[in-house]
Amino acid sequence: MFPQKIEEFVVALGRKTSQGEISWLYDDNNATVQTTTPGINVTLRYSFNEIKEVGEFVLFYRDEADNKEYRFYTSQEWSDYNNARLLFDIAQSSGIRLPF
Amino acid sequence: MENKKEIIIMNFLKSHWLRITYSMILIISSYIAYCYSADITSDNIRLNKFSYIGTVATIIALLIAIFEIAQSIHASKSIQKQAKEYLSRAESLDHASFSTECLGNLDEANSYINNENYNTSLKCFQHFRKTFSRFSYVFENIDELNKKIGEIELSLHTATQTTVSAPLTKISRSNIQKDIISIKNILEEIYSKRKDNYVSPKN
Repeated sequence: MFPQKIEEFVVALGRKTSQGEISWLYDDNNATVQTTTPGINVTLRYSFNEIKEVGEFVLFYRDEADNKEYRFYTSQEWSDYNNARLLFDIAQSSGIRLPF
Repeated sequence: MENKKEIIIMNFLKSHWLRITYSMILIISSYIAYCYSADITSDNIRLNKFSYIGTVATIIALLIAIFEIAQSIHASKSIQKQAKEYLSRAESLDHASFSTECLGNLDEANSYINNENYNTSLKCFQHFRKTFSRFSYVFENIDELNKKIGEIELSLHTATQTTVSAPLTKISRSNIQKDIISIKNILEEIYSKRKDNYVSPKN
């Protein structure tokens, strides 16, 4: 489960991506999205937990100032999973080139 | 009623004619021996000659009997060998059809993974496993292979629990497919190495 602060950050990331302020790189093989916008270093990784049989997200946030990596986890057992899923989908679609 | 009796007697004669014949010969020989016993036993030279012929005939008969037994043992052995050969050919035919069925099941299991239809894929894989167990003893590394098959089945079981909002990642999906293909390769390899002719010869 994400802390309140991170949950709000996830929602904000989704909103800013939809507005075109943040762009992402999608790695379909590893089910990962990573920001390509300078100053924001976020990676969201999806996986399926084969033991618990639930989907899960891990959000990595790297703070450039103190050079630390923060790691936050949520799974389908928590309600914020849907926010992470939504951000993942928005990020995926941010770099997509549709034919029309 | 009488007809029935006749049939029984005829059947008895048919199956025992050889014994009846030699019994007759024995009776006739005994009778002749009895008739000439006085002539032979009265003269010592004649008796010795008769004894000598009798001994030689007995030795010859013994040798014939021994070699006939050896001949029949040899014949039964070659029959056994031929029967074994035919049986192993039939077994090879069975294995070939089992392996074809297995390859088909694995192909289907893989194609259902492409469509993320894991339930059907699991069914196909379980069908493969059932067929595979019927001839798995021909594989040398069976323990290792069984372990891998178990792992794939477990992964497919887990995959059936995925949903649209929590799908299997692309890499996990392709890992299952790779494992299935590796099983397929092992099956293909063992059967491509064999040069058996699965069609039985005319003779």
